Amino acid sequence: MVASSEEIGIGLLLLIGYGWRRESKRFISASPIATKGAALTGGPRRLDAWYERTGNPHTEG
Amino acid sequence: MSVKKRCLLLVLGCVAMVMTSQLVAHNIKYEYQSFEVPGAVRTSAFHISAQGDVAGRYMTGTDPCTRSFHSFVWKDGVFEYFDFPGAYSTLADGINARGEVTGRFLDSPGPEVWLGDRFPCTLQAGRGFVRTKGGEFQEITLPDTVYVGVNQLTASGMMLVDSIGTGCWPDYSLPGCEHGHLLKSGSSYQIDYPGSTWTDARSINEKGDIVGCYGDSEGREHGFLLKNGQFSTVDYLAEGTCINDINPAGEMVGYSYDTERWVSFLLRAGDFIEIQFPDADSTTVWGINSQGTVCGSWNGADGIGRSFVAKRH
Repeated sequence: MVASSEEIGIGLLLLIGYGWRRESKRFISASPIATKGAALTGGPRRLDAWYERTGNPHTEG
Repeated sequence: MSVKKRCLLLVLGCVAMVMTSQLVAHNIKYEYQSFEVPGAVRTSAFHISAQGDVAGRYMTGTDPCTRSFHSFVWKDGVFEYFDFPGAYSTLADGINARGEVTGRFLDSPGPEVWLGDRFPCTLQAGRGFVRTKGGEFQEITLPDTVYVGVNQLTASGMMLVDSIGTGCWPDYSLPGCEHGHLLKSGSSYQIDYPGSTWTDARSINEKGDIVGCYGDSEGREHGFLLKNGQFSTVDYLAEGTCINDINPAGEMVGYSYDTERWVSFLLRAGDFIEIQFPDADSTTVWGINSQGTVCGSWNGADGIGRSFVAKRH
């Protein structure tokens, strides 16, 4: 069976769509993403993670 | 077969291909093993070598102002405990294929600060260390710093360090206080994410790819990858993300959070795959080795923090 040009076109469109969907999930950008928020986010677990990593309490917030 | 039927078959085939690819991307199953230092309030597995040896630290005491940390290497289910001689706290960060352990030790009381309604809480200045497989220590310092931690030392000798500068006590989260450093071949390179207020370079693989996290001007943290001299930002949930480790294949692990959730993840080929220790209240993945085995800590309902390693099926 030889695919027609219509079939090839549809297939390409689907592949492009799939590629775009995967790319949109990467969340990796070339520049910093700045968003507004409190000085300290993440709640108690982030404080724990800070303590767990540095051995010192977090003094911010 | 008509053109319409052939088109339908082609579409169905493409849909099946997409679904199969998604399943392959996310069909990673882990076999978890939990372990803990007896009597410790928290045991944290921070890094895992290619051989499966785990370096970590455990916390004693519950008072937030006086608790201390001690370190271990966990190999084949057996703990080897160690402290930097005379240190108040010793925190192992990394272990390489040669069995060398890196980390930080705290032994110099710094300023007294308020912690919530508690006063005084004494901050501890820190210095870095490398411990040979035979147990000998080498101290690592950087000029003009009050705190140094050696996050990683690769088997080929690349050392990744984080530092806090002199004059940053006690507000070490102020802009310009925390920096990453790469030490290799006798030279030192400072690592700062462009425009960031702080940068913590946490891990490096043998290819020289570096990951970590940085703070932006709004106080939010983001993960980053530094590869071939180019920075990329890694974000997952809305409030903050940090990348803790990267293996030779470029697979990364880290954590992320928003107002509702704290999650850990594997970032593989652009896909985030969340990792949660079974029935844990929270899970933090700290390390990943060349086999894809991950290590970290998990919190249970009893309030005890335990370690785990998780191998892929």
